[in-house]
Amino acid sequence: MKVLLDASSLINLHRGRLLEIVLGLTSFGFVFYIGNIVRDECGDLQELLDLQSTNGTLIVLPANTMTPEEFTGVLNLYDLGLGETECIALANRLGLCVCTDDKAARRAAVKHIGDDRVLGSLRLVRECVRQGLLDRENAILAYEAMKAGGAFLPTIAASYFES
Amino acid sequence: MNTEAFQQLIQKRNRSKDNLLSERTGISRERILMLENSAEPTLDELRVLANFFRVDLRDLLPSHPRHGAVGLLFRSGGKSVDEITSSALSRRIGCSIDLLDESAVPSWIDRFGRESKTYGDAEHNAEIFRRLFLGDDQVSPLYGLPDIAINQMGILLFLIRTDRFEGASAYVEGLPFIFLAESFGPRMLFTLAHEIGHLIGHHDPHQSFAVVDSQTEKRPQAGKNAAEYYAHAFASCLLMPKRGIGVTLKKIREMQSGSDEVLGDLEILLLSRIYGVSFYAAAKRCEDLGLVPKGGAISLNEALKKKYGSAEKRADAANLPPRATVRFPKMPPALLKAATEKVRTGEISIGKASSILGLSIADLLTANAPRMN
Repeated sequence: MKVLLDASSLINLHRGRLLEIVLGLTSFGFVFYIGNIVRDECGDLQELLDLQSTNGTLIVLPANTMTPEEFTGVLNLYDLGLGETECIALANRLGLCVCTDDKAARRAAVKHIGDDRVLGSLRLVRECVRQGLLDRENAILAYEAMKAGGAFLPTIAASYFES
Repeated sequence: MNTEAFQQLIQKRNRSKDNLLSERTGISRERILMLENSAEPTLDELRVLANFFRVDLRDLLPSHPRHGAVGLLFRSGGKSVDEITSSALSRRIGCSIDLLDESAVPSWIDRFGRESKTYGDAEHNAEIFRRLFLGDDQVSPLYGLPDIAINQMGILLFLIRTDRFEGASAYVEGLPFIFLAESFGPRMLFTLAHEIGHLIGHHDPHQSFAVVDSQTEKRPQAGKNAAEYYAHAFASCLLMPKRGIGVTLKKIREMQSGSDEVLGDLEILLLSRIYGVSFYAAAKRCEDLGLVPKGGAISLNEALKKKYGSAEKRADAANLPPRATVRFPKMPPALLKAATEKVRTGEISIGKASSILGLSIADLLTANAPRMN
């Protein structure tokens, strides 16, 4: 699965101390990407993202993958933030999935690229549990840490990480 | 692309720093020259140039039609306002209106004389202000002005990192807005009072209005710009009430064992630190009250700059008490609350909310974190 991450999902995963673990899914067929605008939006996290990029677990998409007109078109269509817009526009152009923890961005992404290509950070956490990168108890603790860090995440049952 | 804004940005750059620009952005000097000559920038060039010049990438892209209309208000305010400033302010205003479901003309507005023009009118309205919001305290410093503006006056107060202007104010759809450039605290306090002066004295809340002030401390002549003269006078009278200045100077004199000499620079510096304003603002107020000869404020300020480097250095060298800290919230709390609620329900996205509020996404998430008691 090729996944383009937005700033909310990256920050949430980082606050749950799970970013490196989730990026470990690259050993199980996942490829993770970010755009330059999202990288800018991540502030203090940029250094860690650059390190992951050097390690090969995260690909920063090359500049000018899209034109200003293409970007502005999607921006005007959904009235989202710049990073969220970049994610949807790039995913559309490159055939990637979008990972976002934002309700409005998720709705726009579903409309633009289809339900089957949109997910949230919790799906990635669940995948980590499935692949044995994380146990269920630590997944729940991470979810709670993400919520405590201000993540706009849905309420989930503890069994979510079992399925 | 917003070609006008982009061209203003690239044309008005400091050409002597093109090497630095090229190094920091990765755009070659040749390409910078091409962009200056109307070559179309790529999205990534827009992004890195926006970062370098500390402007929002959105302000280099076409503006939303509704926000464009607010931009026109700024440009019709009688002053030259650049496209980026106009775009940035109108975007914040337009988005804030979208966020706040209802607005009403502030109840305090009719309590002030609005046809105000003279220094006396400003003094009178400043006294009314203190009666309304400070229990008629006509003496004390006004460190709590940001809090009064936000919580009692319902003003949407934004801090902006810019060197393009010092302050701006607007009434749009019944909502009062003030934008302050982040700078030296006393300067910001004076600018806030100045912009409140605009809202009180000259903005008709029943009609949308907007003004940008490139600087707020130097007062124009009344005949040249009545609105600016009035706003400056109001700020001066509000922050340094006549009675307060009298009481404070009397105490300062008593501490100095009763000298009857002409007001000196140290006494004015002490006044400026007590009232949270710059030396020049305090000296100008003393000049207006007849305590310093006409033209004395500017001469004294220049003399201190020449001899000590700045008035603040003179005050520090004389071991005057330090300034009190005035706290300016980064964004209107009401807007933060409305934004987080709308993000939760999916009406707006986290990225859009962070852009309206001028907060990073990480800070917006932190603001949404449950409070621990």
